[in-house]
Amino acid sequence: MIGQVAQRYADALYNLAAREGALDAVASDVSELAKAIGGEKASHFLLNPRVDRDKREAALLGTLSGAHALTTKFARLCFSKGREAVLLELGEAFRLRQMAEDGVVEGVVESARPLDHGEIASLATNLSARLGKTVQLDNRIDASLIGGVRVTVGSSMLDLTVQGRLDDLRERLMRVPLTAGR
Amino acid sequence: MDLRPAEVTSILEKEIESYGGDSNMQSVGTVLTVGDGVARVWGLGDCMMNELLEFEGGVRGVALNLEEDNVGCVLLGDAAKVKEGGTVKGTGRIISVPTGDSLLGRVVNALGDPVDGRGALAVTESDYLPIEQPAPSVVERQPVTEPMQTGIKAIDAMIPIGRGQRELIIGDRQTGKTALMIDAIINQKLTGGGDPSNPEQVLCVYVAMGQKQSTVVDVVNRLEAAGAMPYTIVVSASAMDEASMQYLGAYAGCTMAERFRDEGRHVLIMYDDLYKQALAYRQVMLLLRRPPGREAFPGDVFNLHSRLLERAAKLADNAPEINPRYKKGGGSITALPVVETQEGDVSAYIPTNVISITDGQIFLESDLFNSGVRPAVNAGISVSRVGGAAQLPAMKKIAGGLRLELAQYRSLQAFAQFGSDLDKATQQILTRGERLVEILKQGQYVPVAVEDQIMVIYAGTSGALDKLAASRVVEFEKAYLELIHDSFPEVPAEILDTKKLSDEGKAKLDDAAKRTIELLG
Repeated sequence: MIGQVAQRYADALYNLAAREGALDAVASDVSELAKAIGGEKASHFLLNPRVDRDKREAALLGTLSGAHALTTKFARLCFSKGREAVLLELGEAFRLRQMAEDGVVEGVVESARPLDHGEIASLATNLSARLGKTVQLDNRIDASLIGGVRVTVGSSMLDLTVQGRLDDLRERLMRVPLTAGR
Repeated sequence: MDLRPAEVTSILEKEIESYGGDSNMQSVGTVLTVGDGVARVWGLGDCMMNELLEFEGGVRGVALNLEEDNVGCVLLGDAAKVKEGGTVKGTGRIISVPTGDSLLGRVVNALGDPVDGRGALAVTESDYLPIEQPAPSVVERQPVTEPMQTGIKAIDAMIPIGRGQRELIIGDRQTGKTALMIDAIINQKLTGGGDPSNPEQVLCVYVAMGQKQSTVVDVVNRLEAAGAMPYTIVVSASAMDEASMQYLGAYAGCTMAERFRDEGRHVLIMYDDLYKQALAYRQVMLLLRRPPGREAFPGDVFNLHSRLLERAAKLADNAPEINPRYKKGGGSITALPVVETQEGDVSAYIPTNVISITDGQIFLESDLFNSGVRPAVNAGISVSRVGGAAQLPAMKKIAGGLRLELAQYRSLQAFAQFGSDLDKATQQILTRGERLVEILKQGQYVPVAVEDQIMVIYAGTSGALDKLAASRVVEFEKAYLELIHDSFPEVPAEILDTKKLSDEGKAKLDDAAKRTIELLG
């Protein structure tokens, strides 16, 4: 989950980069930056109120030496507005925006046993046709599902597992009125 | 309940055989926060307002706040089973309750689940109706024309209620509000012999919101003892239930009543009480962080009650032609909302709201109650704005005089202590008034049939009791009615038949009163 503020900052950066035709350069800067400050130590330093803001800014700009001018300006803006935390979420927020522009959605497919590439690909193709978007699936293993798959894309879920059916059946049986013996 | 294993097996077989499972996309979300009976959920992209949600552990909830990045909902069950990060499933349907004949005689909660330990309801999927439904439109209604007899002399004579009316019952705690409603339910037995399959029978729905469980049990026991349960549904959202259940109870009860109304039946529904319901609503809305207004109630607290009470209506005879939702025209819902006041303050927020919504109000006063006038109806400030059109002509004629004489009595009551120093005309008004007040007194759980009411009130307004001591009026009433039903059974029959009291009948009643007083000595 990305905070609303971070998403707005990221959208602004994306729009600017797209207008200036520097999308690829900025995108690679952003992912580099995300890698650089992704560690626990780096993020602690970035947000540490006991270290002077100017010092932190200088340190960060040091890692951005070869970056596009837009990225550098963006980082300095974040510091001047006291929004260093936005930088931590920038990578993810920027990526989400890029995916939305490309019509790509991410999803999770849960199954009792690992699925092979062919299975995942055919699932993704089917779902893509159904949702009208390109679906990228990530496989997670959950033995309690017993069998079948459960796909979650955004806030929609398709439950085709044995466990899900059993739960469903239990619910239905609980609702059957018993007429005998009254 | 004793179950036969063979039956269970056959049900299982049938269910498993017919079980298909669906491969439709489901809407899901994740619990962000949960506490105080409300939860915030992330996801649920296509969630509807008032949609029923399913949390883990079988707990249900209702979506009430659809916000930019989350859904605020109230929980309708044990909040301890809901955990942060848990999955929430959308059901794709608005919160609904079961309706229909199988609910009669039952005690159910705000979701329509039985709570009387007498097993599941025999309902099918199509019996479930949404709890919020639009009220009948202007063309689908007709004015109130038929009387709704409560069996209480003071009300039926001076504050008549018609079928389809909304009449507020308002008063402090311990003034007999609930007792009055129980009487009204019991009296409906006279409409169809207490047989719910008789189309003439007025069906009753009693919605208890925020009441003590002991009060609900007491009401059910009273109704059972009086044989009134077979045509009554009790919806119990008591003080121990979640605040969300307490405020939804009114709508659930109304939906159950509407089903009968739309089938051409007559229903009497009582909301006990709307003040507590507003408190429950305030709690839920504050927890959902809706902005508070006056007295911290949310801004839509007026609409909370107006949209509920608008659903009480008398349907037009041709309603089915206008809207296929109605199966038969002419049905009605009469609503008796209750509002409890604090220290007799009727100018507080909720009481003024509901007074302005309803078609009249019945004021119950502690002072009257404590001085022995029971039911403690203050006839001076109680009104019924539309019920007069539905009153029996015989009652209307007699009650006009009753109202006037009681009003004169009240204005002179302060002089009563001067006794013999007063002029004859004043004394006469005071004597008459005292006896009329006595006549309107009535015991609990003994509703009086309308023809008996007319005959008794006639005796009072005709002056037949002026020479009898006020303390003996109760005694007189009993003997008088007995004598009439023995010697002049044609008079009550005539009233019921022609709805009028002829001069001939009046003469017979005068005679009966004279003979009764002689009998009493």
